[in-house]
Amino acid sequence: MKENRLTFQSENFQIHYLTLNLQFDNLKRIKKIADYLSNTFDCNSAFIDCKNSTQNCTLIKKERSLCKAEFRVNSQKYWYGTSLSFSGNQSIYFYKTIKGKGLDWEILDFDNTNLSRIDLYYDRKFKKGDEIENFDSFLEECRSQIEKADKRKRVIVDKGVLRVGKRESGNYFRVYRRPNGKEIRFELELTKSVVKNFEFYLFSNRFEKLEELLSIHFYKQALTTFVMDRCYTDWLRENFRKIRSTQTYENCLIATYLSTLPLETLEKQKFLYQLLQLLSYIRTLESSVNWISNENYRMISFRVSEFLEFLGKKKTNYYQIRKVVYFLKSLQRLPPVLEEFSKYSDFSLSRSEEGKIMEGRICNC
Amino acid sequence: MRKEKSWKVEFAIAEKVYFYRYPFYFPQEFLTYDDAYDLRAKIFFLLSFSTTKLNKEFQIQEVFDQVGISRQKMTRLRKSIVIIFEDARDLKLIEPRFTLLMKTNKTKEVDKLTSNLLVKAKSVFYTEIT
Repeated sequence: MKENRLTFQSENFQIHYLTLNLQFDNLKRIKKIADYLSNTFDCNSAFIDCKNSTQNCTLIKKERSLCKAEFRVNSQKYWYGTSLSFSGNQSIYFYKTIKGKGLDWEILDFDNTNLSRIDLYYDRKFKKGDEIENFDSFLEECRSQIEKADKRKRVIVDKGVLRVGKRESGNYFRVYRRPNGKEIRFELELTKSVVKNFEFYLFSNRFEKLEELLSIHFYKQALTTFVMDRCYTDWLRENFRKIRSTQTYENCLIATYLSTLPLETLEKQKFLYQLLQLLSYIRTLESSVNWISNENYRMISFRVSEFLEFLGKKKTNYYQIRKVVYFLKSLQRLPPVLEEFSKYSDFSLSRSEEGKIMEGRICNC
Repeated sequence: MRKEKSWKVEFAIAEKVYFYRYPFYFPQEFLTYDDAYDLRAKIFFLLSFSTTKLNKEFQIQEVFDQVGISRQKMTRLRKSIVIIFEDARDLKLIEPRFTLLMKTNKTKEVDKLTSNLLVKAKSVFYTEIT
């Protein structure tokens, strides 16, 4: 099962820039934080005065450090604070490290620190078939699509770079060919009030939730920005459906990638439909967790009549009840079906180590 | 007072399956089926729709070859397929524009499908709305 959680790893997203705003510009306090970053994350630090470059200095420099923090003061006219930034590979390393160790908010002063910028990117590798379509014309098509949809939105294609939105707007997308010539980078810069939506999850070290929300945000922005049926957006076509949820409809039928399942008999067709109905229904129910054979299982119980109600059928119809019971009993022979799912789905449903996805008990009581 | 018995189900489902992010959501109209024709129409629509590509192909000829039913029953199945496409269009799952690949290997663009068109067609091409 590949799609359970949206993480940067599952979506191949990377953080490319991370900035925290500290509400002081006192060098002594800055040094204290630089020491903390050095001791905890093995991080070098530099001090940059945007008004007076003679003040620029190296705060900490260690050999073989993989991370570098930049403390900038006087970067804005009416704000006397310090922006603490990690850029490029430094930010990737820093983010990975804080995921493991967390941040000490007593030292960073939780109450007076803000998250002010996160850049998130996806690198799409050039493929052989891409040569058919021109990258520059793709950028132009995107520009034209966005301008049609929203005339007020700022869209520029300049020197092979598509820029969507303004830096001040909070969401600023850039698409460009990387200098290595092997990849196209789709990069979203989040600032202002937009990035504030994610601050709590970073500051409370809830990285799973942070990554899920950032991934959803990235996909939502990308969906409204790019032309979807081009080769360069194949990754988006494959992934955007992950952000859909049952909230779309009150009661609905869920499905995975089914295109190549062999369903030559009516019986097989019925079975698949009933399986999808059941999976759709149980997601609306309360469940508890149980640890069985080295794996987490959800324990669910329901009355057949309630399942029929969910499907919009009469709950007292004896024929319908018998049909459902017959189907549920047939689930005890489920493993072969899941093998087929696994074999034929683009994104496979995997089996547990014990080879059982469901175990059940049906009683007439 | 006689107490009615009712079927109760208890089962365990692997969290991997329970929490799987299913990529496709079909509205309530797809939650159930009325008869075997409706079931076939829906299941083959689901199969054609549940792919990563936005542009989909519903292979009518192949479906009819596969189900192996009488001519009369095929007429009913065609009607059910037309209804499914109308529902999907009205529910904004798909674009209201279809390209038919006819048995003559010519293509035809239409806004609305009919049973008569399906008789003469090999495949229906349609587009998922994002």
